[in-house]
Amino acid sequence: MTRLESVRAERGQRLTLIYAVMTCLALLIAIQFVLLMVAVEGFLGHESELLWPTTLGSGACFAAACWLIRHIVVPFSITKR
Amino acid sequence: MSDDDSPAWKDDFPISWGDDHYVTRREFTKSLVGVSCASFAATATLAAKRAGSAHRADWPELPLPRAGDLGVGAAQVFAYPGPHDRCILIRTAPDRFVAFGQKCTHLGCPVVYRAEQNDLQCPCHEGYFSALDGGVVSGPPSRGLARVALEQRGEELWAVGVEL
Repeated sequence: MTRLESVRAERGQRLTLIYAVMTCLALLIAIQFVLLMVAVEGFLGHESELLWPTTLGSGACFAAACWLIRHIVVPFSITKR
Repeated sequence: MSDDDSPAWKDDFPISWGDDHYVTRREFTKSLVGVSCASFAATATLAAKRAGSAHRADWPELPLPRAGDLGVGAAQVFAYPGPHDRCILIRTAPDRFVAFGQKCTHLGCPVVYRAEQNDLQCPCHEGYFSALDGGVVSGPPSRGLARVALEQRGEELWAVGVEL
């Protein structure tokens, strides 16, 4: 593999990773919106038992999002070393 | 123009105006985490707010002095617990009163009592609630009306709390 091909392959791999992370984040955010809607419904309906589980679920999604973003925030050059 | 002719500020600020507005995939993905954080914060705020008000047991006690004048099948509106919280008091039998929050649980329109059908109607979207317990009979509302706890003290009827 020539140097140019290697650079192109690496760039392609980076893009694949970024798109994968974007897709996962979009899914997590969609789940969080559903949880938020449930929480709003529970809040307005005075169904307090719904609120803490939805908060917990939303927090888990946020933690997963932070974990995922770590893969693209930390530059490849550092992670490869 | 050669590179040597370019002004010195271009070395200090090498990003062009056009590139400044360009959002990379990476930046966009980072902003998604911000959305995730905001969503989590909103959910947590709702939970915290409800937790703060969940233990509210200090409902005011309010006498309803003209309740005795109500005829059976008649209703009157009163404010409880706050001056802007409208409730509806209904006399369903000579010795039986019920009271509910007047705000429809669908979109907040005031409900009206219909003595013939013995129910409460929301005229905005045709929601119907039972006049016995405030539960939903039909229509778009998914929750029953808030019920006002009443207490008979001698000759007077008192509103003493709200059962949500």
